[in-house]
Amino acid sequence: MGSLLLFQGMMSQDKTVSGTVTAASDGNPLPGVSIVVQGTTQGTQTDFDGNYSIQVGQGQTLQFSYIGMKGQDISVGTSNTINVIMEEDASTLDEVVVTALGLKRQKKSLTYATQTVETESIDEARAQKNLVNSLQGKVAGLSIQTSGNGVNSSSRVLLRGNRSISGNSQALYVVDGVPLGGDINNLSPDDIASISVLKGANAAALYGARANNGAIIITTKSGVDGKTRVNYTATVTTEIPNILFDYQNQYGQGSQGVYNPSSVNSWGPRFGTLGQVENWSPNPEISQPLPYEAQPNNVKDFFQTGLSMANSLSVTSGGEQTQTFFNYTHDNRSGIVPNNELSRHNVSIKVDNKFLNDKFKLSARVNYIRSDIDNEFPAGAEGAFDNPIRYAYQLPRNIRTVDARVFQYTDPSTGSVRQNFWKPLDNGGANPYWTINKNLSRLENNRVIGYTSLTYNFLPNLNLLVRTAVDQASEVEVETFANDTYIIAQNGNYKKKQSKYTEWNSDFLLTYDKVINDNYTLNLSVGGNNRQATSEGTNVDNGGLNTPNIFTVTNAAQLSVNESFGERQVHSLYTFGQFSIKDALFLDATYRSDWSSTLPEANRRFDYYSTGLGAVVSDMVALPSFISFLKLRGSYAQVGNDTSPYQLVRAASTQAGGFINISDIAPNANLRPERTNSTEFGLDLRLFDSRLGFDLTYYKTNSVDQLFRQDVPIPSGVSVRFVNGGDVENKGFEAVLTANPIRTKDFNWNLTANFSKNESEVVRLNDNLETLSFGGPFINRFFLDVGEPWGNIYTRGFVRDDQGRVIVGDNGVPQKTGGFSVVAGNVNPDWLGGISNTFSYKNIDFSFLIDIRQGGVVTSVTNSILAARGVLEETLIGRDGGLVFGQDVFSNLNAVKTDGTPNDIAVDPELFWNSMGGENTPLGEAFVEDASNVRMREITLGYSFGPKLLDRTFMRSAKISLVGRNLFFFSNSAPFDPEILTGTGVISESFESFVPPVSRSIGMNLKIGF
Amino acid sequence: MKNILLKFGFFASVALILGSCTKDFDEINTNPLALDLNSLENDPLLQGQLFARAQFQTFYSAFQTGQNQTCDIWSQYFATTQSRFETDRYAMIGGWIDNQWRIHYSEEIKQLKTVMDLSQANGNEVANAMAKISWVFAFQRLTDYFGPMPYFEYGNLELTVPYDSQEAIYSDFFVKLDEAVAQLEANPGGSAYAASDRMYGGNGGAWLKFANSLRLRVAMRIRYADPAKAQAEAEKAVAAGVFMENSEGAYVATDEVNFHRYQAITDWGEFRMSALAESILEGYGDPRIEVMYAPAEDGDSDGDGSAYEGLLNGQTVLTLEAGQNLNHSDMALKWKSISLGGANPPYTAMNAAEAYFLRAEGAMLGWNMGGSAKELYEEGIRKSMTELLNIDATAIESYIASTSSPVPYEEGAGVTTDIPVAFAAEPERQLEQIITQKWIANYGCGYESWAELRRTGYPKQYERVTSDNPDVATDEIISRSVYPTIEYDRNLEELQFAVDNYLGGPDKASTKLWWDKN
Repeated sequence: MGSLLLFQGMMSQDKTVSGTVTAASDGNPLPGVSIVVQGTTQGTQTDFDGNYSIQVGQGQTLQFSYIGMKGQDISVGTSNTINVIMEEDASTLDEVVVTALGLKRQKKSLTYATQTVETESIDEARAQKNLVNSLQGKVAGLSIQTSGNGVNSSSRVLLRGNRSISGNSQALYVVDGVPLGGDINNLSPDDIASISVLKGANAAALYGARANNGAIIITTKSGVDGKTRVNYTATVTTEIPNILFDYQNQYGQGSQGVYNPSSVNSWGPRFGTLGQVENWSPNPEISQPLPYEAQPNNVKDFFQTGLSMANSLSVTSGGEQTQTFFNYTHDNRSGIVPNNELSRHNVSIKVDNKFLNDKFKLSARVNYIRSDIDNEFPAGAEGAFDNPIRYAYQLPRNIRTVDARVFQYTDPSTGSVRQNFWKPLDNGGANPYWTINKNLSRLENNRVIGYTSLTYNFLPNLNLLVRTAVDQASEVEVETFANDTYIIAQNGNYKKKQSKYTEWNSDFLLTYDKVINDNYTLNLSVGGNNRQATSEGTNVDNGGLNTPNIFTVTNAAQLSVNESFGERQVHSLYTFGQFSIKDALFLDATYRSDWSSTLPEANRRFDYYSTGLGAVVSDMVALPSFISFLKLRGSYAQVGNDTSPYQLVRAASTQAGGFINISDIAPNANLRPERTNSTEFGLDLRLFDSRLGFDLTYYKTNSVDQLFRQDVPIPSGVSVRFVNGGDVENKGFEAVLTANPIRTKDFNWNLTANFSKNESEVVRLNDNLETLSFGGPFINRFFLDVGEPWGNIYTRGFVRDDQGRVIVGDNGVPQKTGGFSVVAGNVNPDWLGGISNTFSYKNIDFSFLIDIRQGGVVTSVTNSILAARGVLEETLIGRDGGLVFGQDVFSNLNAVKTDGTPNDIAVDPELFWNSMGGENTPLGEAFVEDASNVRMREITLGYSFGPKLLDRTFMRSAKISLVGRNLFFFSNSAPFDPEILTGTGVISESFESFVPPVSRSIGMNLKIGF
Repeated sequence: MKNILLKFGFFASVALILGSCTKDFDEINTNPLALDLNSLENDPLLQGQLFARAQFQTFYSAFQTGQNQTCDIWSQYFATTQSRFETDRYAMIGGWIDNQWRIHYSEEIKQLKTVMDLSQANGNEVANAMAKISWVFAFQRLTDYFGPMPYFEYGNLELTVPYDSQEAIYSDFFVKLDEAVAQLEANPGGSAYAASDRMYGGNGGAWLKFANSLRLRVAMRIRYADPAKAQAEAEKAVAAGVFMENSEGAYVATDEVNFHRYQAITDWGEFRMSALAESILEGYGDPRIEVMYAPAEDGDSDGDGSAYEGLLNGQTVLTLEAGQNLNHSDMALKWKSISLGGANPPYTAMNAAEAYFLRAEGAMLGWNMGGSAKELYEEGIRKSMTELLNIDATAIESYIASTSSPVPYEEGAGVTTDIPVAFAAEPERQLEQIITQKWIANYGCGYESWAELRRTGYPKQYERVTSDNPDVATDEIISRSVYPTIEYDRNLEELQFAVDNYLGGPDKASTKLWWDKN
């Protein structure tokens, strides 16, 4: 090993040179500029003020380099001060991206598609509800939809479409080179240094199985060598609900035009025809008559303006040996529904330490996140009877807010507190104010993400990294339902869910870089990973309370307890390398073997590989001068995947009361790993000094031999069997356009547009299996059909004759198919797009982002139920004298009577909408909505205080920004936001059920540096 | 370079050893919370709990949608008051039907098949007999619900499962009962699953009586379809010894964890006493009304002098939206939630009274039932009265002799029949009386009462207010449930074959079952 030490600097470092590095364009200091003494490993970086200081010998050369700037070599003379002004590199080709395993690579050397997301503004715009939402509209091929759970929501994140039949097509999250067990919803934007998105299996082959849906790679901020710096950020955001359903304001509570104070419907008499009416309250002490008048705002009144406050303090400090980064973020949010609140503390500390002559580098990071969430909305179509939005949306049109807000009363005869609701004991009904005040939940989540890594540099070009990393979270959720919560908790109820998961990865990576000669370079790495993942949970449901409103497990009426456990271990070995010629032609190869505990012994090991080729044509041949850069790339990859634990044997389980039950799942002792094969080609073209750029990618992936649960006839003895089969193909095209149309000293305009189109096809399911149902709510079913795109929605539909005309029954109501036999559409968008513009003028910057989702359909449970309730504007048609289907409503349909003559039967709209809509057997075809929309996703306007102003203060930097998110729709045909889902499961893309109203957020952000 | 290669080689080989070290993978991939099926093979205690689940789930599973809002409603014990439940208006609700099919096959048929297989392999004859009897009991309810079903090939673990005709299924019921009876008779004083059996604590002798009584029920069902076999099997049952005393009846015990579903679903206020129940029970001055229904919360709203108020079946959405719970009778306290003072009663599989009514019908036909039709009919009433009430004999006798008949449930409503309790002379009126009394005695047993309604047309029902089902008019009854969509999705060819060859009509609620000649 002694020989290794020879590589220390041989020349004496006899002086200290310092200076400031600034940008030529705006004169601002450049932090993080790398400064290396040529021919040595000696180096440093500029601090936040662009200052540096380095020991160097006279006559040596300092090399200054910075992403996006032209590098400079400056010979050290007699002066002790060297100030450098760096110019933007028109070609910006040395952009460094973080790829698999946390490795940094030059973007030009990549042989696959990746997209780095501008992170500068994510701590300003602060995507509401989930960090990953900051990527919305910014990445070609990325689809993000959010579940409607309130202030804390999860997101459904898809790269290049759905591919996994068994359910999980969502991308993998990787932080500092280590895969997470959970998502990134509770990470702090203030911790994030960069985000890059590896879109396909090609990019992600090195993460193995879990990355076959692509990966989102996050690098956290580190400390830098230099002075201690403190940054403070404060953000205040308001969230304003916007209900898109159109309510009618002409008819109130009742049925058949008759007022009924205990009706949940608005089919009563017309307003103005009655004076005072009987009070709806079941409280015998409230009996004064009520005015019978429209309450146009009673639904709107239920919602409030949400308010979020985020405060973040970060401290960066460090010297040459040790750098630390500390951040504390506190989030406080109150949602658009009262009592839906979140408080989150997020603390992180990262330490990088070099020692023993920089031979060793020790890095460690710990991030502790504590979240407390009150009253999340339950998601789901049926059974979500504690979803307040369900009840708020159904408010009869004459119920006054002031009366409804009195959600409880004391029964004078029994002394017990009762719900004040117009239809006592209604199954599926409640006063929404009761729900938010008496059906409470609180959730506490504690999460720790951390890693320690040790790197040893045997030689400057040979190092070994050893790392172990944990992502662990435990969560407790307690629900307390007060008595008189109809049906589900007559005496009150208590539920407690506890869950925990641990994702523990330990790995090593040996990396060798070799410049063989001026023309050839070789990078070679060998690595291994041990992954241990466990999850466990216990759910307690009191099944009612013995003594009302005493919320303890021991007060259970019919206690039920569920326990779950899962564990898996995967060992992996891999090698990868890149061979490059003249820094212009790059050949990549990876090879990986996984051993998974979830597969049968014979199939436990599975190997896969990838290969890619990139050619920077512009460096190889002379091209016309307007072409600054041209790269072609192509790659092929295969990724294997295992399955979930315990799929190999049929098991039995013990049930409440000691019963034993045999599993309904037929096991498969011969499971094979599934595979995703992926091919992609790309072109990266930059023109006119790189002021115009195109990044185009074509890809095709086939996920074959997929493991999934196939429904089998129940009388076979099982209801599903676990099989290998299936081939889902996704092919598509992604384009990113970057332009810098205007660039002057004071004014700069950058434009980025992205477009992606993905076409999926279910090529094969299994022998004799042409269609696979994923089930669904009462309104629709979600199917995969061979030969069709992923995700067909089936509904009950209109009965049509052979000419396609809709047949209307004798009662004037269109006939309804008996089962879910009509294909109402497909969930997938035709294409996604985003246009982002950034303008800067002196100290002011302004940017906006337009997000487009075109195509795809979704069924609306909400619309179906609200129509049957008679609260929607469309239900006004025909209230006097009836409506004729095909003329007054659904006039786009050709409706005929059973004898084939045009329909002219007038039907009572109450009967009509109850037959079409409602909860249990809606005619789903009538409630299918186009999910296309174009929205103003994000606008930011920022002002940075200049140095002249700041010099007179104690502040080093200050910036104030105004941020708006989700501001408005340019177009949206559905009466809800199709982006908000009832959950994040596979079928959640197919329907909408009482999700929160669309909300726009407007906020102000202040960033101060000391 | 050589050094480097050596280092690479070293790490690669260390890693390969680590990577391929998968010794503990089998253990990791064994679910610590699950039972290995092998552990059930020779363990009668575990098998007993498997059996107990099947026994219990036969009643508990899908109770609300598969029994209460269907069988109970269609046999007019109750009328639906929940506007969004359409079965009282004769709609076939796909999701409910799917559940009924899936849950009963998987919760009891699957378990019973396993118990039959395991007990056979273990040579545990008593257990095997208990499983077979429970199988017949459970499967009769299912085939009477749907008609032809996959039966003989149940559990084939294939992608298609053939159906069997109802006639073939019924004929196997007798085979299964023959086998069970032989096994129990071969083991006098035998016992199995004593700690688990919720019906008889594993008492083989008690199970034998149940097997015979069940044979009587099964036999009577095919009286019109196969009269000779019906008589032979019924006489065989009575000769072998059916229920004579209430204490011999088949009841499945409940407890606070595994409870009677009524005590949960009565909280939800979705059904009330039917007009028919009010008409019959009030007309007869039947004392059992107290343990069946409760006075309406609003009291005597129709002014007929009684606070028991029944609702006509098949109400429209609009009338139900107006609220019908307060002015109509709920179930009696006994059936209500434990927290409200409910008794959480056991489930009745078959009571002694039913055995007497079955024998009465047989005797009426001249079969050898060990008594006259009148004697057996009257004894059936006595058994039901003493099963349900603490009542003195004279009150019972005066009820039996009573000539009062059903009354209109509200003024001007009319009655469905004029039959009194006192046994009539004409056979058709006798049959109507027997089935009507059996309907009262089988309160809470909607499956059986709906089947007997279809077989005999009794008790005569009020016409429903509306029907949402184009196949079944308001004055007709539902003859069967249509097949579930999950069978159309997963087993279409076999289903189609069964509809074409076994069902005897289209897959509609109006298509009569094989034994339904009414």
